[in-house]
Amino acid sequence: MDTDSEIIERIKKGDTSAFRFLVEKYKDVSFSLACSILRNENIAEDALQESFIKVYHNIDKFRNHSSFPTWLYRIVVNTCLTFAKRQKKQQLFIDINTVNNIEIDTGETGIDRLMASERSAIINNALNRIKSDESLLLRLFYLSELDLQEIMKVTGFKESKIKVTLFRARKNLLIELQRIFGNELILKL
Amino acid sequence: MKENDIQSFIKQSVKSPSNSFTDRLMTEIVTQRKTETKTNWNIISLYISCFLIFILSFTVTIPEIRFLNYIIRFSAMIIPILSITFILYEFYQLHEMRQKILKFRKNNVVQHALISNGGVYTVI
Repeated sequence: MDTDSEIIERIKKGDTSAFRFLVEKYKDVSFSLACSILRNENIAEDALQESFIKVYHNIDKFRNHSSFPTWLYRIVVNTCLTFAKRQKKQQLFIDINTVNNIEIDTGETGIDRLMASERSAIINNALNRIKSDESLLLRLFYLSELDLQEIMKVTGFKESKIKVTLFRARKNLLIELQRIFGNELILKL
Repeated sequence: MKENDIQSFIKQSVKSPSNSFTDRLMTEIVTQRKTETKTNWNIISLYISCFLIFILSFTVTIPEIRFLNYIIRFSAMIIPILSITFILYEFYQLHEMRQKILKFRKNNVVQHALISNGGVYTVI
């Protein structure tokens, strides 16, 4: 399988279809990050689409100073922040109850898949209850597996702020999970 | 809770956009690319036309006008000045129109989100 830099070279040469590989590879993590900031899947999807379009149009500007995921996530985060500002300007607010509803995929037949889907929805529910910057940093650190330097590039936060927020985020996530399950049920997840 | 546990929790929380996301995105990119190429050619032809108008304007002079006992002669630079003013005004109009379209598109994104979300949003 081609590496990111090989795919990027193909896109730079005009092979639009190669971009599909990048989208498929990074869309899930990017979408999770977008959801952390915007807290709404429909808007997060629109923001993600705009982010990928920006990436496509600016791919010529990408020099390998940082890794591709770091560059991509920075664009995603900036686009989502612009969307969030736009929402604020339009004086809209999100119905938290609707967003925090636990979605269970009833269309699946396998009990394991159902449980995994339910588990994912429950964790997302907990992540939606903590602050946006906390859930964003948790996802950047644990899901995208970026190091502190890369997170600094993506978010523009200082190292000390990232460390403090991550510490607080872990604590708050645990509190939220305990609130949902109680102490003993966390072990079963 | 250990670091590994948190990592495993967060990894389980990964979300996916809708199934048609990649197809919609690729269609949008291909469409934009086609439109961009078409627009580029339109802009190039517009520049060439403007340039020709400006060059040709040097060959055109306003004939002198006899008024009573006076003869009014116009400078040879009048037509080029008028043509460049006209061209700049047209560019200004195009720029204004572009800004309006961009603003309309930005507003449309939020409107689209409002409609597709089936009333999850409330306008204060």
